[in-house]
Amino acid sequence: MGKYRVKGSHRFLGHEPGEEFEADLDEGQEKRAVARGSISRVNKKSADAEDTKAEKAEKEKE
Amino acid sequence: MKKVLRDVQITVDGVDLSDHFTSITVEDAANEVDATAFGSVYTSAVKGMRTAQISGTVQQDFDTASVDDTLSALNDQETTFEVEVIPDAGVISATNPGYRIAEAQLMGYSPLSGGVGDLSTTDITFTNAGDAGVERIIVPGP
Repeated sequence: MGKYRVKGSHRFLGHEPGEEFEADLDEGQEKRAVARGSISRVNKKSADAEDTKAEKAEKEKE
Repeated sequence: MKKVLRDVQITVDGVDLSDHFTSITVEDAANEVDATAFGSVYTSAVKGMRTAQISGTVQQDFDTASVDDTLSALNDQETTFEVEVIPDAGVISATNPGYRIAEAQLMGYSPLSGGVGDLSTTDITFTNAGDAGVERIIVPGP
């Protein structure tokens, strides 16, 4: 299950532009929708932030 | 009650393109196979292979994530996608059934069509590529 935000000017899967929603999109549909700018992943940022934190921690250890 | 089409909802691969479509046709038909034999007075036919498709006319739009972004990418790929039509935008029900091709393909796409001074529109056909054809849905999905 992923969390997404609708971008652009068209509704996506019944959700209005700007709205956040959770859905279990198949990999292909998610890839296509993100590539054309219909949606963006909302939890991607937090995942990236966690990566950055982990990277920082590793660097500090070094 | 007789139906006048005013607010049909057309969703292509999740994208609601209703406000760019000007016509839509949902078709599910079978080939007529002649099965007439000796001794018959009338010809008779049986149903053969079925064909399912959703076709329509769409107004072109090159904005991000709009008509061209959606259709050109789907035309370029081999994998299938879902197309759904609901007579009245909103909740699917027994009196507002949705028609869906769960595994559709786009066999061709004309990004530009029209003459000088015309609004650019293009005719589009989503062809069935799965076993289910056009499904009639009367219960909203999860």
